[in-house]
Amino acid sequence: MVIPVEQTEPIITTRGLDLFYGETPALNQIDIDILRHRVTALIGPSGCGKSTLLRCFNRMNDLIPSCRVTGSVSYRGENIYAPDVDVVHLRKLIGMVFQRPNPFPKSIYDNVAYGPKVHGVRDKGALDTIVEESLKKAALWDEVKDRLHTPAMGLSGGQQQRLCIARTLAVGPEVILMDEPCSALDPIATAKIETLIEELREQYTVIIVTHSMQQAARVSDYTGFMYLGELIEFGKTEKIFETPDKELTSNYITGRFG
Amino acid sequence: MGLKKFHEELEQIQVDLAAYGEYAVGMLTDGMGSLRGLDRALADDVMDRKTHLAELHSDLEDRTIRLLLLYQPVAEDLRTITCINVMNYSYYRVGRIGKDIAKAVLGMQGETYTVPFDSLYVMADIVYAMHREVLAAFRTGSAVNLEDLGLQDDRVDAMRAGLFREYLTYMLEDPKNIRSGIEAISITRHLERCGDHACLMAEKIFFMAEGERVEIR
Repeated sequence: MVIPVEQTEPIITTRGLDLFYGETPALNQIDIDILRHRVTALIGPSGCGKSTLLRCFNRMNDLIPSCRVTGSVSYRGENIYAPDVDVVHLRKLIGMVFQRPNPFPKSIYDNVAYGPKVHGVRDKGALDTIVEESLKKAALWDEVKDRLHTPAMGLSGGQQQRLCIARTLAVGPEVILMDEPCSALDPIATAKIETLIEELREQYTVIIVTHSMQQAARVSDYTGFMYLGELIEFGKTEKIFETPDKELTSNYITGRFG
Repeated sequence: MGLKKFHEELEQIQVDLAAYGEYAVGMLTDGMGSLRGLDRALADDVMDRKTHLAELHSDLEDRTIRLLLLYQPVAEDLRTITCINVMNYSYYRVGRIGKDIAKAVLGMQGETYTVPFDSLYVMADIVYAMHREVLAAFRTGSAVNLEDLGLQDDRVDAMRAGLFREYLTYMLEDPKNIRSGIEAISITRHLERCGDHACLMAEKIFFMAEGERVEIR
């Protein structure tokens, strides 16, 4: 089911967002509205700030000591950089999947159950349900249901990445951030992740950073093109890839620079 | 420079498509030319060109598909390829129509009496002018004046309706006119189709140049 545009509303909003690594500016006055139940792709050449922007949405940049943020990032209308924000809780609601699959060196089951356990779920039956549901949502259940207690490291790269998605889903997020989730995967595994993203948008909001323009065009509803720390153009994906307004966008996506 | 090879090939396809357009419209003008005095040699010549027309068509098609496959182009590049694809088909049809007219000329060989074809040449001149505008726009990557082209197309349509009546009266007047009268009517239909192809191509060129989908009328 596709939710009509008029029923969606921004779930994450940034206004005048600047970010510095030490003295070096990495993001410059970013204003973006991420719509709920939509897939938003961020594209741009290496170093343009797209991953940095992604990491602002769940304060992953906090882990970098020299990083300084000004301007606002709000999630459901609340400023996530306010001093009283519980970052652990924030990251539960805004989960993240990384470039390389990074399962814990534990069993498949434990990988998925880890998050809910940390957040206080102790009941075995409840955990079983969460693990099964999460693996099903991540389109991995049928492939692993008979070996849930075998090491996750024994899975293929594509399966590991879907396991990481299941692990993210297990704590019940609303938003899933994906930082080049397919760049370490073969085309078949990539296609599975892309199909999964399509399914996830029914229940979640997905923001994906990708180097593959074709992937952005295939999976996203909205696309933002970034260059040198600025959001150059943001709009519906068809529009960006068919008739972009800015010459810079056009030159980048048609491979005339970058 | 990201995709130099891709852009070089795309530019070459544009150049070759324009040459293909000249070739196809040339078949139309020569097909019509062979109608004057039922010129058998010229009609034969036009007939002979149909194989080459098909070869050029397939070559352009293969190359555009290859670009789509290898580079998955977007934005203006994708719009250009979309435009080239449509034009490749349209020009193929226009060339085939030239061949059909030549075939009609060969079929009328030995006819001692035919209806006058003069009005057909007038109609054809408008169609050639439309195609010249389209090709010039494609070569420069700029939009055609759609309003102007639409008016010319209206004239072509009006002439087709008028010429149908004209040739009908010749046929009513003398049944000996029926053979050539029917050929003349079918040529009006062919020319009208060629006008439509010019409009279709102009719409695609507009999309290529401006990024906006338009329809003439």
